[in-house]
Amino acid sequence: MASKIGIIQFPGSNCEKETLAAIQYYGMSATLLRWTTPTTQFHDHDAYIIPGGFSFQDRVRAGAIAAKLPIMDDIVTAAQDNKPILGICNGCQILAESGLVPDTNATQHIEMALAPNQKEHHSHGFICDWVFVKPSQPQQNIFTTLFDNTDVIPIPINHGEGRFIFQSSPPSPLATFQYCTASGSIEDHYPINPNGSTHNIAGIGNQNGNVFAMMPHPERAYLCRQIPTSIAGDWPQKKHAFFSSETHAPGPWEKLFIALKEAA
Amino acid sequence: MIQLRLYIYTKNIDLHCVSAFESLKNRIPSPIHQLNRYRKCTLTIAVSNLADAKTELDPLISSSYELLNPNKENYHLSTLPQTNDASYCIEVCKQHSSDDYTRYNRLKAQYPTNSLQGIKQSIIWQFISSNPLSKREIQNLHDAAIITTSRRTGLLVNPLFETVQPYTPNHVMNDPINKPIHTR
Repeated sequence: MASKIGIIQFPGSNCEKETLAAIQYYGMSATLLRWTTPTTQFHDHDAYIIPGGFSFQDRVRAGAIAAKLPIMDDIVTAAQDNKPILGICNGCQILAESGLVPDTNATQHIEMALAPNQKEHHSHGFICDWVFVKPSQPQQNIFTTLFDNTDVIPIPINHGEGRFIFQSSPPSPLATFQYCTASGSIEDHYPINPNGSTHNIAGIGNQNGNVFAMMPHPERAYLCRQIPTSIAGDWPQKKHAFFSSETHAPGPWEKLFIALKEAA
Repeated sequence: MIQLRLYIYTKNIDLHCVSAFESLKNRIPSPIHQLNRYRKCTLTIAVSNLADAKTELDPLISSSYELLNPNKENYHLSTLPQTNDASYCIEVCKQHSSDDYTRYNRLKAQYPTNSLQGIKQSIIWQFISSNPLSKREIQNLHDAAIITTSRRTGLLVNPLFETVQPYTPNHVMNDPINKPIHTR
């Protein structure tokens, strides 16, 4: 039976349809769950994704209002039940404001924040670009478990508040994605680290290994054809090769969605 | 040097306030019956008197679109309006804000001859209650509505990258000062 994924739609979410398409492409079924979904309906799913967008127009701070909604109680319960939960972009900000990542003490105290982007310590505003990330300690989280430390993966970013900062130093045993060059070198300068994130972090998991929050958009790179030919690395060549035989070939984030399917 | 303070507000409805107030109301019992939000903008202008300072300020406000959008925002100069009820204000600043420096440079590029010397921006949240808040109520407000430490506490300030302090809106205005505000 196909895994059933709940995609949570807040007022202002705008990436739920792409996320739904990615989930269905990899053989899972998905339901859009509005933020008012009753608890009984909510828990009838194997895993959850909080997609990107601008929940509540980023009022007060990105993700701050959504994090206070009653549906987040259900998300916490699902996380405690070891169900996989993925937050993408605004979903990542909501998970951070909820204290669900990195949640090193299982108390849901806020240990990290997504601050406004910076470029060389100056305000940088909204950024929309393709970047490269590589996993670190991928075995520590169910979403990253199929990746290797040597993987270098292209992915689009689209945010104004994506600079990871931590209360103390980032907890080291957690799975992360880090911004890097096309050859996999982690360099802490613009544009390799596009928003000034601490330790180039683009995504981070929780202590328990079932929740993952990432600012880049894997649902926009789930098909090979979504990769622009202008980026470095070997994915543009793969895209050309696939186009001659298969226009719907899987993209660079196949491993994340397959891992979700296996875990859910 | 003259220092001018603008308290910028939206002309119609401030959706930040609506959502913040609804969120607070739904989560905590509180004597607060209204919440207002202002962008406080402190400008340092290298002139000798207030009249000249206002002359320098005019184009920055009316046509730069850097300080405010005059189509949908307005401002109070120097002081917040008096309220019939009691109010308690906090000032929220970014810990490492570089927006002010960027905004200052853009304004100087638009108006190279303007006497503007510096900008500093912050957010003022004004809590309105029927009676003045007691120390305990203020502490409860900080714990429950202001300082965000978990999903269940706070909202208006994320202490990981913002600072907050109580703010008395009308204590200083149009100060002649010796040094410009540092914007970086």
